Amino acid sequence: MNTIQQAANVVQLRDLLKAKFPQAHEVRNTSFATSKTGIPCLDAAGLSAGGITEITGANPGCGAGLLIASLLEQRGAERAVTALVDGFDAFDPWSIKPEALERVLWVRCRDVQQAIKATDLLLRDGNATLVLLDLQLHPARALQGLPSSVWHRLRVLAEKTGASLCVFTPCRTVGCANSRLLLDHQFTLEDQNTTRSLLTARLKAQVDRQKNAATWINENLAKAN
Amino acid sequence: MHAAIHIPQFPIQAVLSASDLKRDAPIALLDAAAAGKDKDVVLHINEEASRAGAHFGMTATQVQARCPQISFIHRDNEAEKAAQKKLLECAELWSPDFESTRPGLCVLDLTHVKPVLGQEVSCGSFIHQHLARHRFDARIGFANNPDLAILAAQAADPVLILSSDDDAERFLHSLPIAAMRPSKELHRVLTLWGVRTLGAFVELQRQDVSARLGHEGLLLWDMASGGHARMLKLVRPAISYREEMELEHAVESLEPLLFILRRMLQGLVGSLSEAWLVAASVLITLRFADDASHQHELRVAEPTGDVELLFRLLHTHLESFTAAAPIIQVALELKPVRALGNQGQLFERALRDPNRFAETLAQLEALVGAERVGRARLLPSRKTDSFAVTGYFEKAPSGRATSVPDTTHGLPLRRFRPSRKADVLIVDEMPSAFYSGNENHALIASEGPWLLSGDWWDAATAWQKEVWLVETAEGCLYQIAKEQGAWTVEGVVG
Repeated sequence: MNTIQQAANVVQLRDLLKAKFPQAHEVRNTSFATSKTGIPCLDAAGLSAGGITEITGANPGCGAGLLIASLLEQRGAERAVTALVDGFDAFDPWSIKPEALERVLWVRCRDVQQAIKATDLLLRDGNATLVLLDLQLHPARALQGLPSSVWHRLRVLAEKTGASLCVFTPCRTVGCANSRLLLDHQFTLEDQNTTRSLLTARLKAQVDRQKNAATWINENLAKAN
Repeated sequence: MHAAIHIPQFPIQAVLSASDLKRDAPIALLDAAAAGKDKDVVLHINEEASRAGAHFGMTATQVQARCPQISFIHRDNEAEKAAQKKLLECAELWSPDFESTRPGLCVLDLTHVKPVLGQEVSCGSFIHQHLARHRFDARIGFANNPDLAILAAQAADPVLILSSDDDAERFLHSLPIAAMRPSKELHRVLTLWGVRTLGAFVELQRQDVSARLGHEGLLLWDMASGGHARMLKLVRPAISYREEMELEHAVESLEPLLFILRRMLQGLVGSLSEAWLVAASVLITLRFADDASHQHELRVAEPTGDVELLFRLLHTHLESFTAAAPIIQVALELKPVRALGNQGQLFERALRDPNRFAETLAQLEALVGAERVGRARLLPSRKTDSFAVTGYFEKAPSGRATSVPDTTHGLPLRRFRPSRKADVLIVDEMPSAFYSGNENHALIASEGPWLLSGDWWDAATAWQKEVWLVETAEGCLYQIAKEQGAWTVEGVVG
């Protein structure tokens, strides 16, 4: 009896708080809308709109650069701004089509901290629909020192603005990522003679995490119980 | 009624008004630029010099041979600008509607200036005396249309009034054709026909003139027969949305400066909105106690009249700015543009909030540096990193993209900036291993060399290198290059 009464009080308290601070109780976007990119391995994991997709590859030439180039070129038709936060200042503009360059906002950062701050600003702004944060060429220890609150903050910002954030890392770093893709592709010299679209289609990757609405609801129910 | 004020031999009078030379002495104006050679050519002469036998187009030596006591002066563009300004200031005393027709000539619309009507003689005399005080000998003509007033001014001494159509007809009848300034070709044709005055010219049929002399002949005929009313190209003073403040106490911190800037912005934006204008950019100028100055133009993505937005732009810029000395003067200028009446590309807008995006770009620039945020523009060279990063809102130069070859086949390169020094082991003229930093890579395959070079025409910037694509035993592709005997790892591929 007491337990039921206590539960009723808690519900009342929650309702009271919800009425008083509606902004703090906004319903979170649990639909996890994923947008199709036309890149098979990425579509398998799902590029979360309003969430973080982590793409991890320990090998520097595992295909992260190819994915970045393909993403920058894929978004062209939508006329949306794509921001590339280049954490290692490694992007080569000659690697993508000049017309795709027109839509890319390139932020050349000197270190991880700068890259995180720049991503924060871009997500707060909300004009860029896709933000690519490239930290893949940084050593893993430089990223492991980052507190997890950094990623939670970025995720909340992405949720608010509906932007997709793709983080390229050398190891599993973003604990709150909606989806994670492990890249372990090995290219050969012959691949240089293959078209970009075919290389992208052949890119091998493993889906490490994929959250959808069902898993989200299950997780929350488990927490509530 | 229109009035024309004409300053004959304007280039000479402009120079004389600013010098102490006597006007009754023979004077020739030289224009060295017109000669284009060593010899100076006479551009204008005054009446005294003309009486002595000098004329336009002679060289200085020829003029001096005919008139030994002649004084030479050189054409002065600045003096002419100042003289024209004085002429327009004089016109402004009589009417707000006036035209700066050409250097030394302006036309006033006196239609709505009631006190002048019927008092043209005294008005003309007053204008003449006013300009005489500035050492100008002006001629003033009054007529019912602007072009006729100009002709009257050119023939006046010093004032000529053509108040009725009969006066105009009599005046035009005896006026030589040259007074209308026809083209050389047309003047030559009319001289061959024996037509020397406007009176003789208007006796020709208008249709025949049109058929034989074309549009120019027709215009001349219309003018010679009394002219027609035309709209004046009115001079309107340029309004500057600029505010400047000398600071009694030098400002050393951001807070008081922002306070001043906000007040200045509020005033300027208020003036803009009164004229139905908005700001396209903000130009801030700061002067420091050590005589140094700082000037920066902040562009607004979408022209706006929002004080808060403009203020935030200034705030973001100044937050990342430091100076060696305190600020003693602040100036703020807004570039006015008309607000868009319609919203272009409604369904194609790439940005949700362009002004907020511009603000974010300013914050990013403050974070990583202005030259490290924006759009990448490819430069027409195959040298490593031949690109420029320009502002996101800067328009791309036309034709640049088409001149760049497509290099997007295969795998993309990810650069190491700067390129990492490497030691490369060559076996059978092929790289077989490389050592860079703390990494040692055995190579299982390599492609190359590709020989690249550029700027060979300039010894200072000429470059050449050989580039290899190598595959390591770990399954990674690298681009290595040899330049001036030294090997570097330029980046990773894939």
